[in-house]
Amino acid sequence: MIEITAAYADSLAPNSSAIKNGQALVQKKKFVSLNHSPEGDLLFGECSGSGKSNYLTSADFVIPDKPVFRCSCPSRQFPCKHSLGLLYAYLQGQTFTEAPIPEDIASKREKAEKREEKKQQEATAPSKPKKVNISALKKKLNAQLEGLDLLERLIQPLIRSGLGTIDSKTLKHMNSQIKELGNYYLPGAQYELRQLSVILTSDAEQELRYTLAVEQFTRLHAFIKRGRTHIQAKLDNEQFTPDPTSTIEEWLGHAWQLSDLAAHDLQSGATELIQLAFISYDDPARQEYVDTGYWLNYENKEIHRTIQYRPYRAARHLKEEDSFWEVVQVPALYHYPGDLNHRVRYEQFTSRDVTEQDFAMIASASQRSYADVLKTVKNQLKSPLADPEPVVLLHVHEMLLTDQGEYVITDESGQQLKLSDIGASPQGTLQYLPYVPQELLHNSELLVMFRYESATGTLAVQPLTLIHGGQQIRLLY
Amino acid sequence: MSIPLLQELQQEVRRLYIAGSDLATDDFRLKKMLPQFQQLGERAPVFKKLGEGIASLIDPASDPQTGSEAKLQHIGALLHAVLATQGSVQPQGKPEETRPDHRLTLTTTLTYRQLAPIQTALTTTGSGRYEIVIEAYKQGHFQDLRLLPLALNALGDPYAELADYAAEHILPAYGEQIVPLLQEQLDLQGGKSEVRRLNVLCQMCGSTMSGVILEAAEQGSDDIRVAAIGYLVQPEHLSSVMAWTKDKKKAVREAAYKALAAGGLPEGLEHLHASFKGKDQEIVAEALYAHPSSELSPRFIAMLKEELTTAVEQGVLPNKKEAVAKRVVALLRAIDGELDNELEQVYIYAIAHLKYLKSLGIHTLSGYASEYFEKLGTLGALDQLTHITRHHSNFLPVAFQLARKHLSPAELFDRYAGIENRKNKYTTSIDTLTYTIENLVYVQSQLEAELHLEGLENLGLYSVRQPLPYAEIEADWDPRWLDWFIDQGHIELVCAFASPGHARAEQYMRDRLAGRHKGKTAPGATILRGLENVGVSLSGRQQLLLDTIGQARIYNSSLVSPYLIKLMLGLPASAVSTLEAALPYYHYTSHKVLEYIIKELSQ
Repeated sequence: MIEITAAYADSLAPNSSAIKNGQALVQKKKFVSLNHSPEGDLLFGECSGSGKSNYLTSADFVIPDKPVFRCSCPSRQFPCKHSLGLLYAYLQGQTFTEAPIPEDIASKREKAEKREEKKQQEATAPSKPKKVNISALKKKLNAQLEGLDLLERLIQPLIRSGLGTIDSKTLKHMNSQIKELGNYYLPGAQYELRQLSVILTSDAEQELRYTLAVEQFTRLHAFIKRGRTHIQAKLDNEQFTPDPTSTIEEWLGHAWQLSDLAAHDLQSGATELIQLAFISYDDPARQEYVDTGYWLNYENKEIHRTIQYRPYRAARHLKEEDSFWEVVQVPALYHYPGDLNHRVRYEQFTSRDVTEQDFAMIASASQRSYADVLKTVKNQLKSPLADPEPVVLLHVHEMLLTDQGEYVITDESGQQLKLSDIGASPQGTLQYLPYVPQELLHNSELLVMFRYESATGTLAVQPLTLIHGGQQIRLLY
Repeated sequence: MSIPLLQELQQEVRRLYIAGSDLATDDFRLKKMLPQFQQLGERAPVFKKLGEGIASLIDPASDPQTGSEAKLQHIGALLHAVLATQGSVQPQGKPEETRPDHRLTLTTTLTYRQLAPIQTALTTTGSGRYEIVIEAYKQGHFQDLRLLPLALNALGDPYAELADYAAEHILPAYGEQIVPLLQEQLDLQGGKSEVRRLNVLCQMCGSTMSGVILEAAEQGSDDIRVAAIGYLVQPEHLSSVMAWTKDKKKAVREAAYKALAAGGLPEGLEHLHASFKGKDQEIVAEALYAHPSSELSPRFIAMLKEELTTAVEQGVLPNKKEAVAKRVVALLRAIDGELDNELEQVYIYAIAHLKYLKSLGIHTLSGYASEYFEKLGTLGALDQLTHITRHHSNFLPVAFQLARKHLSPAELFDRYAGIENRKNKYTTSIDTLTYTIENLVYVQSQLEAELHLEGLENLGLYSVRQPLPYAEIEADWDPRWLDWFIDQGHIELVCAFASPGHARAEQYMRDRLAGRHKGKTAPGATILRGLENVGVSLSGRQQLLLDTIGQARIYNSSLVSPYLIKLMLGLPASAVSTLEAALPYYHYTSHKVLEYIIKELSQ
């Protein structure tokens, strides 16, 4: 029989209203019939909707890690609320009667099987080397160089005349140029310039805006410089394909495909991951919502990131990621080029409950020397193009409060780190520390995010999640 | 490494980014810094590089090929790389051994998708927030640690309903563990939000808070004082509370008097009695109305008696009218209204002179008196109530209810059918009477159970007004009412009272159904039911239904009535065409009902 948990069903839902709507269908008894197949690997039923005829909905667990949801409703959300409702009805223990598999599902299964076979055949067959259109790539690289020149020409006068002189007319011009940059295969440049425009038009305090704008200028400077050298080197060496060892490709706007990553051996085998923190935010510069999860990889004990971009235009039809409590088991993990918390992705996963061993694993993965951590982190932060917010799992020997009301953590050698909220982050977490029980603070693991705050010359260390004695206290999400 | 110098340079670079790099030429601050960098540059290459950068920036002639902006960017990038490795993580204060432990047992089990909407609801303004918060509370989501600060702040939410909800439900649900937190946040000089906080505190751990309450009552802002005084009902606070009844602020005096009345201590009551004679008469009366006192009432009754007899016997000078009226109104309010022989005599006396007393401007007397006699409920009380209704027909329902209890159906008819039809501002006596009777014989009933027919269970909750079964009416009421109702043209009551074989009633109802009378339309369902009572056969009623169903007006556009549905289901299949023709005139649920009937009949 199918074994699923409510958390798993929730995690399949594209957004929280889908969960609510799915559960409402069960509550309002909208399901006219609930059935399962004789083998017990398929749930299907009829659900009444606003239309004349009922929707035929099903959840197919013939491949347990990769359930297939089908429904005759016209919704573009996937899985739709009817399929989710079916799972919730199942989870609530409603009676599903045994019935033969409906014909259309049987035929769809067959087709899917054939597709899978074909895929496998293709995979085993010696893959033909991908045809690369050299001249097109060359043309693209030259266009990118031109684009970088344009970007430089755009920001030079801004720096010459100063941030103080930027007015609505300048901003309007800047925004039109952002569009213009779209013609040079440089989404990264577009994004960085828009970021500047977003900073300058935000309603933050003027001083903070200037600080962020100066940081952005520094980043743009490094971006142009390194981008140009990188492209030039490629042109000189006649090496036109994307370089998987460098993050600059992503800065320029290259979107890695899993097949690319696999081809460059940026893929590791089966492993388990546990999420330690999650955040979702609106990035107006990218014009996307970004869901970021921080995960501990059991295999190498590193903290990775999963990033899901949801462009504004398609946000309604894309799955919104969420905090996840269970351990994720993946058959393969793809690694993006990056720094301390490089991005990872996986195509398939199953989940299992968290046990004591998992907490032991977390404890064993935490860093015990703050001096070493600071060295690594600072080394990353000095590069303007590195991820400015590295996340590290620290072992906390003691957490103390100073007479000035600051929270301080110490490692076993007595080295102190002051905790503080990151100024530019929308969510402070220090405010929750007073409510955490005393006994959880000592001898615990703490996931923290670092950021260099140029305005104060400090290195902010924001606590994200506290782990102690078999529980995660998520201060963020 | 000289970090202060680097930070000074960073400030300067930042200044130039704002002012424009073109202004860097001969910048005196940079010029001043340059020698230091050159000196340090002999030992550290970074300083040397920075020194060269500064030199080139302040003197454009040294490298005319490169623009000032590129030079500034170069220095900025170098500085960033150096300073980012120097970020301080040291605390400013000295660590202490312990920190306060609130002994909270909260978790963080909510996921982002569950938590974020609640956080948004409690930190922004806009519609739909209230529902989100309440739903979250009902689901127990507030046990999440990350919502605690927001729950505490919700007391000051601009949407008052939400703030009240937090005070009444969300915060108390945390239990005593949050008392110290609330106490920590309590600002005695604050406004409404602090009043809520104080109330939550007092409700959660009443007597242990007396120190805080006393302080709040003495030193708080006006709102806080009023709220705090309300909790000071114990004997030890009596003298302070009595002193506050002399406060300059009316709100404080109100609170103090209320606290005295609530406390019910002899000394406090004595103080209330004495104050009643002063300028705070109304406030004292209000306080006693909120917390009635059986000790003081006899004294106020005596005062009321004297006041009324003096007024009636000696008359009131026109310039004294207002003062007398005010005093009497206050006395009526202050008396606890419990059954009492003395009070009864006062009311009887007052009712006998109601007209005169009304002319003095004492309008609330009839209300208090009728409330008293309604409670008394004797036959004598009925006489008094009847007397009151001669002046105020709005008390007629009260009198009529009591009359039904004491009189036989025939006596009741004799007494009320001949009622004089007085008109007042909004209604007439007869309208009031028929309205009273209608409310007695019509009941509102939920239809869900009755509508549970196959295919119709999705109608949701529906309620209709239906008359009581005729057998009950026949037993409780005089048959003469029927003719009286026809005379008054009250169709609903005619339908309810229609007795078998009553030809006049049958004709009247048929006329109304055919729309031959003007006036209030009655739902066709009610009339058809009335016609059944008179004895019109099933086929006759079905024919009437078919004749009129096309006129949706007659059925108030609603067919949701178990009676009608049953009647329609009994129609012959040949009626389908008529029903189909009527279909466009009905909408929503009625439309569904009709469709269902058509479907049933066609099978």
